[in-house]
Amino acid sequence: MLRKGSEFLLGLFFSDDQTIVYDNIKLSHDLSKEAIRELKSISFKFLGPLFMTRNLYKQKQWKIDYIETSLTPQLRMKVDDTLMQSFTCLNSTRKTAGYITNLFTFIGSPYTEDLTMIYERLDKFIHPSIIQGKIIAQKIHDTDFDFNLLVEEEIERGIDLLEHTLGSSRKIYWEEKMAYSTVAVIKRTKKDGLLESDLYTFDLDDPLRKEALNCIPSYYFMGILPDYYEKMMNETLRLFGKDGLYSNIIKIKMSNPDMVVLYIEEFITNEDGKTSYGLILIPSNNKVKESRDLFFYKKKLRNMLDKNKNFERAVIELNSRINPFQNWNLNSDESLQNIERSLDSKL
Amino acid sequence: MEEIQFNKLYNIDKERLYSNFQRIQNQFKDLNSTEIIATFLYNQSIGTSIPLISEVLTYFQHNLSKDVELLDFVFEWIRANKIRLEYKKYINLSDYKAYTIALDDIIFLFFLKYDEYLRLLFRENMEEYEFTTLYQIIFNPKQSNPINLIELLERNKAKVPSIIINEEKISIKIHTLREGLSEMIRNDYYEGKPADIKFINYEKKTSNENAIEKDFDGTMVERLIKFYCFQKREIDKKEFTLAINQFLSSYFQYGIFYNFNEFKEKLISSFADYIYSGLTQNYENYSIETIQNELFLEINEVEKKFLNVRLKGKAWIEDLKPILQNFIEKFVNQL
Repeated sequence: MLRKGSEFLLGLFFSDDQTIVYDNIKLSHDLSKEAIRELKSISFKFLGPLFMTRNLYKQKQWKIDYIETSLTPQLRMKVDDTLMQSFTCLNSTRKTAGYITNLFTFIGSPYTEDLTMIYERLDKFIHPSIIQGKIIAQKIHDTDFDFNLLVEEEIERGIDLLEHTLGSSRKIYWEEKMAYSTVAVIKRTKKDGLLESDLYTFDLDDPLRKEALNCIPSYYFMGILPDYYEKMMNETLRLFGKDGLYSNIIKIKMSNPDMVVLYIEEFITNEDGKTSYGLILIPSNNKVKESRDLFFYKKKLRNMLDKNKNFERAVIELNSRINPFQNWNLNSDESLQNIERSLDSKL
Repeated sequence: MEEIQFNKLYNIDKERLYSNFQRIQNQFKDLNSTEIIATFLYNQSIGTSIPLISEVLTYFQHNLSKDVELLDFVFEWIRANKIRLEYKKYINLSDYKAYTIALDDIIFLFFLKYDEYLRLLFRENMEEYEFTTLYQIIFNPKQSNPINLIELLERNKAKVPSIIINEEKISIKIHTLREGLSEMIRNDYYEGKPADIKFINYEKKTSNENAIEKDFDGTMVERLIKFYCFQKREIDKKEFTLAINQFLSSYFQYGIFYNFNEFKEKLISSFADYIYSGLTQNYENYSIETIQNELFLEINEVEKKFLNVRLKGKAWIEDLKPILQNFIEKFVNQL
């Protein structure tokens, strides 16, 4: 459990196949009723990624499992160990008796939090419990029951359970030690409020481009994720009155029944603004070689930023087949359409 | 594979147990095989009596998978006792804010995976209420009240139905586990709490301190009465049921316990209030007090049954539904 006095925020949202959203939000500090009502509307902002998940799910059954960020306080902000330091979104998508449901949570906490443990509770217990509750109530009461009430109660139970779980120290899971291969690098810079994001990957005619495309949702989707979520997290923090905190993507995990894809990122801030380097990683396979574990990649990214290493050389060291001289811009609709047309083409 | 995993967590020495079993087998040659196994289990501090254990074994023996022996099930019953001891240690050390959190967390940590494993011992088409009953028996402490197997099965039949859609059995295992384990976990949870909080509505007060206490919402009742006053059309029984259901469900929460005295007055005044609000000007002869009094008399008739009874929200909904429905039907008929 969280230490007394710790800052936290916790939201749990459930959406069913008719895109109906049920929510429950908990905060460590009091807000007025009006403010809480306004906060309820953020579920629609957060459902953006869920809708994306839904579209992807229909095609390739990809779903977003979680997005993890660290929080950076403003320079003059008073910092202590009860202050929120991490902000994470976890999503469970399930298909039962032919329809898809999503259960989505965001967690702001002073701890890094054991995400695997929280995700297990979300995906294996809270989400099935809502779905099963509905099925049983339908069977027992036919139409003569209040489904809204049932979902709200289950969500309340779920959020209580998640709150109880918060404050756990993180364990190292096998996932961290598995071997992964880099299939793309994303460089994001922010200077004077302007965001510049580029993706680097295999050449268009390199067969590895298509191999990697089979292992990820799409280059387009993977490319827009970090900017999208970072912006979304910052907006949410503002809504919660956390104006002095900024989020930085650490890890995004997506999966489908057969595959997993990770995005990991490190950042540095200086007088020039903020620079982030991120890697799109897939579990090593026979075709995309040059694989290492997550510790290696994290260290490598840190080195690139802290020692200001030559970007092109570092990218080649990560995967010699990635072309560090051809950037795919991620900031305009036109350039994103270009990625869809060329990088995401299966031809 | 699963057995290895559970052996690591809750190891039982099958060799030693088997030699104990053989000893009992040699000792009681005049007993039949089920009675011998029941005696063996009873000697292992399992179950409240040998006849009851025999009855349970006989019943569940018919549900075992093809390659599973009765002794395999018996060993799992012994393991269940071990899991119970482990979980009890955990619940005593944990600081749960409310019983419902304890219930969900304990099921997730100790029973969810075990349920998957245990189901492998039984036929795929074993009914969910039978699993609920099985959990109520195998995790039941020896010193607790004796169990009536048939009564338990009957009681669970309505509450835990198996659900089959397109010939596929839909998993409702969390519901099955909650029904099967809630009583045991509740008792263990409150056992470690100070006496003064055992009998108050602990969950409700702590689950969300900022929550406003719930009120009855009878807008459907009000609408129904209004509709009748304007149209004078006969109201379908189902519409009454829906309105009463909404009224009761708006107040009672699933999984939370209520005492009758906690809500009696609120229920009478709210229900009468909504009925009164639904009446149009043609019915000026009715006052809110008259409706309240009539309802009070109706409730008074059954009050004895409910006095000092502490039930879950869901149970109150079921118990109060016919009383309120009867009242409102009579009320509309006399309008």
